[in-house]
Amino acid sequence: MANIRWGYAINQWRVNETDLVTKEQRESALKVLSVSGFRAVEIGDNAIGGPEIVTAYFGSVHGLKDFLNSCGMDRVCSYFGNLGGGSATNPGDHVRLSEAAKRLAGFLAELGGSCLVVRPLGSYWREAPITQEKLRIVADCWNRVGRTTKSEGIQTALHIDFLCGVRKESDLDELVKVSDAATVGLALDTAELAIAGIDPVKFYEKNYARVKHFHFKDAVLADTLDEYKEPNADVQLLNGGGKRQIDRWFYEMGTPGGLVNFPALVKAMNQHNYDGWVVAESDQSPHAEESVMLNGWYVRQVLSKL
Amino acid sequence: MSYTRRDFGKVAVSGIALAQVAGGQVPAAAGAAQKIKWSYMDHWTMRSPRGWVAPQVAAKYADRFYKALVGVGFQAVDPFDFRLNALIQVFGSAKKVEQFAQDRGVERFVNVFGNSGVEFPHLPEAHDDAVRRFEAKLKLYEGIKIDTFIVMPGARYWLVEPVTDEKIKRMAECWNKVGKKTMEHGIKLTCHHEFYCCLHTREEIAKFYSYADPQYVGFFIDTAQHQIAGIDPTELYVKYHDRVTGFHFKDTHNVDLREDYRTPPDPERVAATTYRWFWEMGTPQGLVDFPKLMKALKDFNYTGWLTVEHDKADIGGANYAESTCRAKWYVDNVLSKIYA
Repeated sequence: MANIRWGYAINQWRVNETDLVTKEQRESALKVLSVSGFRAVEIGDNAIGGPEIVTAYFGSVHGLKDFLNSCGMDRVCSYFGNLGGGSATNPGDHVRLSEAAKRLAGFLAELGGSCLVVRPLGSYWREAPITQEKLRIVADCWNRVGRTTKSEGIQTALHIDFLCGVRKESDLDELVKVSDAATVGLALDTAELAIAGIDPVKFYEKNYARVKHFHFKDAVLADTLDEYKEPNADVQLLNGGGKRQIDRWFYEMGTPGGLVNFPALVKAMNQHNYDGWVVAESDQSPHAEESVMLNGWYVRQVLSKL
Repeated sequence: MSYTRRDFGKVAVSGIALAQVAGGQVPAAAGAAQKIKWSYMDHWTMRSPRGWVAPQVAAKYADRFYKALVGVGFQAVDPFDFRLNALIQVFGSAKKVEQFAQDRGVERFVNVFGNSGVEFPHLPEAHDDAVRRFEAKLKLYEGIKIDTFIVMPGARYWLVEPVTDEKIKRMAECWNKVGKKTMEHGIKLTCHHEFYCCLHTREEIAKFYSYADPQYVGFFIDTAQHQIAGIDPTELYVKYHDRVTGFHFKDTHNVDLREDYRTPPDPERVAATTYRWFWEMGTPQGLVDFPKLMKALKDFNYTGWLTVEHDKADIGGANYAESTCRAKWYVDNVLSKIYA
C-alpha cells in the first residue's frame, strides 16, 4: 500500500509580478490550500522563492515555517528550481549547478521538505538534436547534483514537461538508463506526459522504482502536431496555444474529457508501495482558488477512496 | 492558529491527514460526537468562457459548485428559492437536483431562502396570496427534505415607514398563516432580518416575535445584518435562543450610523457608508465576535446546522471561491475548536 502525502504547488497564484508578494496574498493562498486538505506546499523560484527571498520577506527560514503554520499548513514539501540558470548539457555549468542545488537542498531540508524538482535540460527546440552523448552529459550533471542533495537529505527529481529536450520516450528511457538510480529520481507530471503523448500510467509502471515525486494535473489535448519542435515553442505553444490556439493546456483532476487516468495511476502507486509526495498543480487555471477546491474534492471523494 | 516552531515537528504527517480523514482512518475535525454541521448559503459565481456565471445556469456549473464546496468540507447547501427553481428546470425535479448534489457529496439542502413574491406582508390583503404562494413552493419541492423556509419578514424600511405597532402585528399574522401551512409539511418558516428590513431594531424585533406564534415562526440570525444594525448577534441569540432555527455566519466592517437602512432604493447595494457591507469571517476588520457566539451556542447546547454566507463577496474584484475558503478555514481553525 502506498504512503501518499498530498501537497499543492503554489505557482498557479504567481501569474503577474504583483501576485503572491504581499503577506495578505500569501496568507490567502495558503489558507485556500489548507482548507482544501493540502497541508504541504511546493514552492519555487518565482512562487515564495528561495533562501535569499525567504529571508528578505520572512526574516529567516523559521519565519516562513511559522507563517505556514499560522495559515494551517504543515510544511514545504518540495522546491521547483532552475538552480540559477545554466545548462546540464554544458559540462562547464555542472559545478555551479551542483553548488546552487546544495544551497537549495539545505534550505529545503530546514523547511522540512524532501524533494528538489528540476527540469533536466532546456526545451527541445533549443536542445535538439538529442544524442546519446548529450544525454550522458546531462546524466553526469544530475548525478553530481543528486549526490550533493542526497548528502543534505534531499531527493533530486527530474521533471519532464512536454516541451523538454527529453520528452520522447526513447530519450527518456536512455536518460533513466545512464543516470544514477541511487541519487537521481523522476518527477512524474501527469499532464505534461499526456500532452507529450506518453501514457503516465504505463510510464509509471515501467519506471516506478525511479519515480520519487508526482505532479497531478490533467490535460484534455495532446501535442498531436508535434509543435514542441517548432522554434520558440515555449511562447508559441505553451503560452500562445500553437496552431490550434489552445488557451489552456492544464486542468483540474476529474475534468470531463481529461486524458489522465488518475484512479489507474493511484492503483499502480498502491501496488508499487509509492512512498512520497503527490503535488497537485493547476498552472494556467483561470481561477486558482476554485481549482484547488475542485482538486480537493477529487482527492477526498475519488482518489482517497481507492 | 497557535502552532509554534516546536509544534512544527509534531504535525510532520502533513498532507497525509487529508487521505486519512477521507478514508475514515481518523475522525474529521468535528469528531464522533458532532453537534454542529456546516452548510453554505449559495450566492456563488464562477468564471466561465462567457464571464461570471451562477451554478444554476447549467449542470456543468452546478457540478463545479457542489464539488468545490465538498472539497473544503461543507456538508450541505442552502439555496435561494429562485436558484433552486432554476435547477429544477435544469434537472427536471427537486429530487433530481438533490440527487445531483448528493452524487457529489452534498448531504442535502437544509434552508431555502426566498419570499416567493410576498413583498408586503404588512398589508392584510396580501396574506391569502402569501399562503397560496408558499403552497406552490411546497409542491415544487415535494420529495426532498428541507428544514426551513427563510424569509425577510417585512419590506424595506423606506417602503413601510412609519413602522407602527399595527403594521408589525399584520406582518406577524401573515407569517403565522404561512408558517402554519408550511409546518403541515414539516418545514418551519423562519425570519431573517436584514439591516434595511422594516423589522431591524431591537424594539421592532421584540414586538414582531411577541406577535408571531413560536410554533410557526422561527428566528434566523444573520450575524452581519444585525451587527450593521448595531445589535450584537450573540445578545440576540441569548435572548431568543428558543426561537432561533439557524444562522448565517458572515461578517461586516461597518455599522450603519448614517441611516442607510431607510435610504431608497436598495441600501444593501448602494449606501453612503460603504461600497461593500459583507465580508467572510476572519478578516482583521471584522466586527462580529464569532468566538463569543460559538461559546453561546455551546452554552445553550445548540445542535444542528450552521450556515456560512458571504453575499456580494465579488465586489471590488474579490471572488466567492476565495471568500469561501477563507471562511471555512476560519470555521475549521478557530470556531470548531470552541464548539463542533
